[in-house]
Amino acid sequence: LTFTTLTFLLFLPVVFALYWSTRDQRRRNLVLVLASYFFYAWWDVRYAALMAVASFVDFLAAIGLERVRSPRGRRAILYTSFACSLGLLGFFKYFGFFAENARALAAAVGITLTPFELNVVLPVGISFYTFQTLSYVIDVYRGELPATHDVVEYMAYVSFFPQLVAGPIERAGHLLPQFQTRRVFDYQQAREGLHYMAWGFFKKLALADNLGAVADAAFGATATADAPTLAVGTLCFAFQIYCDFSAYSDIAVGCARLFGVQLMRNFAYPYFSQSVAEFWRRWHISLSTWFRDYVYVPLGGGRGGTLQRVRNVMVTFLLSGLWHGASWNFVVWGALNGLAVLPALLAGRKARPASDVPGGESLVPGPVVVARMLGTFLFVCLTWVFFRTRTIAEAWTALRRLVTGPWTGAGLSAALEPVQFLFPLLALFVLAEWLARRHWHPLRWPALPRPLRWTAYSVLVWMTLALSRAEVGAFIYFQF
Amino acid sequence: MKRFLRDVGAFLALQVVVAVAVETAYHRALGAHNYMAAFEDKAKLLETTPPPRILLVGGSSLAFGVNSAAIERALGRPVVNLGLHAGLGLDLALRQAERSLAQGDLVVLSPEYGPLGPGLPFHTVTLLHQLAIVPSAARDLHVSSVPRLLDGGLGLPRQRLTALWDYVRVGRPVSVYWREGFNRRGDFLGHLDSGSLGGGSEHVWVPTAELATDACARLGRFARRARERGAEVLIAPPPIPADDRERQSETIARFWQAVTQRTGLRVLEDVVLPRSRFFDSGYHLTRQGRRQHTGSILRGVRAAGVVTRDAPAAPVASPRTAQPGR
Repeated sequence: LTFTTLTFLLFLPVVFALYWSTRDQRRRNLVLVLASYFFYAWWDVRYAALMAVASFVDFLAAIGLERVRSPRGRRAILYTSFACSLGLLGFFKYFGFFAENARALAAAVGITLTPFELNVVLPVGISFYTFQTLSYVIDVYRGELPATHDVVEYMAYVSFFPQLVAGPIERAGHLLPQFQTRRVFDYQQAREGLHYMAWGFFKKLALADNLGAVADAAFGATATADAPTLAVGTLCFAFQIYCDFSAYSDIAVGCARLFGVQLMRNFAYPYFSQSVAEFWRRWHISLSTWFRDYVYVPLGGGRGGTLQRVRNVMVTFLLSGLWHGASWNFVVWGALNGLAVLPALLAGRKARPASDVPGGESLVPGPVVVARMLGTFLFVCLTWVFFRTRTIAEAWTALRRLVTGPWTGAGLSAALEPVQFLFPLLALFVLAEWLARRHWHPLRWPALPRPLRWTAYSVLVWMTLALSRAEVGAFIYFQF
Repeated sequence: MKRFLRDVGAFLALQVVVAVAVETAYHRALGAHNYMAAFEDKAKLLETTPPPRILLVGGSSLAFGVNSAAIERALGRPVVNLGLHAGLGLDLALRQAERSLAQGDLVVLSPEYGPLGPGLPFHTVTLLHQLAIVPSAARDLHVSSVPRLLDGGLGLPRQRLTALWDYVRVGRPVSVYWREGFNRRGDFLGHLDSGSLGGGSEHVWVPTAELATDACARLGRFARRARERGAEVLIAPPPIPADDRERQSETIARFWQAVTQRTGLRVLEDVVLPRSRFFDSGYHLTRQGRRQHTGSILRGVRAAGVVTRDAPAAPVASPRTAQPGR
């Protein structure tokens, strides 16, 4: 099931009613698990079975880690869990990539390999739930979290449908305790949840899908598109991926609140960042913090000599790039971001926390702040070219054409033609986000009387429907 | 919780009121005259035409491409042209026909290639649009269509709102696609004076025989049920532009061969025409193309020997939008 369907809008109230009409906490968890598996099996029932098996292995591994005392035995259990989780992820996501590269490498030294080809479809959300189960096992191994012996609450943690397919990637330490305590319905939380969802739907249906159509047209003909078309396409893609992915997170966070569950914040106005390092504290926060806690810090983090710190940063960003997809483009994208983060890290500059007001407290930012924000945004846009294209050569072609032009007035007019209604809407969206950047989302109008608020919400709902495309696009991060 | 449910209920009720207002405004301005509203007229025609009849079942290639009066005159049986839109899918067309099949009926199936392939049993927004305009069409809907319809359900409000917005800005769109373009036998005549637009820019895609397994099963099931009720079924492949036919001649030959083998149905010869005989798509024929296509169907039916000239033509009841004399 996907959020942007009528099916989901019927599914949600049914689950909501079943959930809150059940008083017993364990039964509520069971309702969530059954609903989540139904939600996931809507794509393919076989992948639901795969998720169940993968989850169960880590459930047993965590119990084993608690019972076994010897370090060697514990390590054996940990590595077995890694082998299962990462093995499945590797098989479904990276097998083709590594096989193809092995073939190319062998061909370069004169050896002909015919690798075994697999035509398997990547199970939706496998990267997300694998990282959740991994973090659970690692936390239990480190002694930071007791293993749960209740398979229902554990399954609810792994498969909780609002965030199952595209995050936020929750940590067991944050989400699991919520399934272990009795949840009480909170009017304000539920109302806030609906606001999140409404804003998420607007971003996805009204903005992301329309921007995506322009980006697709530009990147569908990289070799022939002129510079203004590619520039507009890149800009559209930058906002498409932001609106698309943050929309999913917003809907997930909002949906979870309807069930009395708090999910972590995944986006904190990343395009108002003043440096690439800050961008990564505001973009896909759940993934960035995952890599920080389970890769960067164990590697040594900011400790040690310069070379060691550079290695730690680059390994983290390269793996983060590879997590997004089995392609060299993602590796290069990760590497570029890693290189951009390095100077601030090596200089030992203290990072601004994501909870800070992005772009500063002032309503009208100063020229230095504006320059920093624009510079960061420009860099991020250029790296998105690697993210959007399929091969390094294609990315390089697009970047070369962007730089070398030609930049003509006629070309620019033609490139802006398809976005003449989108860019004003986008400008309003950016303004709304700027004004609301102290809060998690812009739909906060507590001072307005109810008739006005409801009118505004109704306008948003109908504007979202009116601006949506006939064929709603899948969320971009489903492919990861 | 009560407060939350009350608030959400009230807000949803408000949205339902808006939705009903939008749909009513759309229906009054455009929907009642929409091309797809002819579904209702065709359903009435099917109910009121006594058997034995010739039922033409398929999509818009039948609506645009057949002169039912000529067939009626030649074969001496009333003709009901049920062809409307390929996007409604094969299931809806077959179920609509199946519901009223009677002893002695002849069904000429002429499904477009798209719905015969895998994965695209119908076009979601088109079918939703049909159901919103003529809700009684839901009785011919297969339950398996519902999940897919719900998955794409958000497309309908957008279609309504954009159509209304355009109507407010520029009035009724200039188009031939109106309900009034159909005659009393269900043939579409609204385009006949417009000449050829070269068959549009899109090419007809034909699925391979291997991809048609599911469609064959459905066609075969329909044929069995038709025979049980004493009706005959023939397949008349839709007309195809010569360039598309040439490009896919082997695929097409194998495709219809597979249909014959798997369903046991007789498949008439397909009608290949130059693009100048097509109107705005590779399925919609011009006046001349229509004449040739009709002639081809007539020859095929006669050759099949399923209808003799002896049967007298039954009087045809006129539905609301009938245009006499065309």
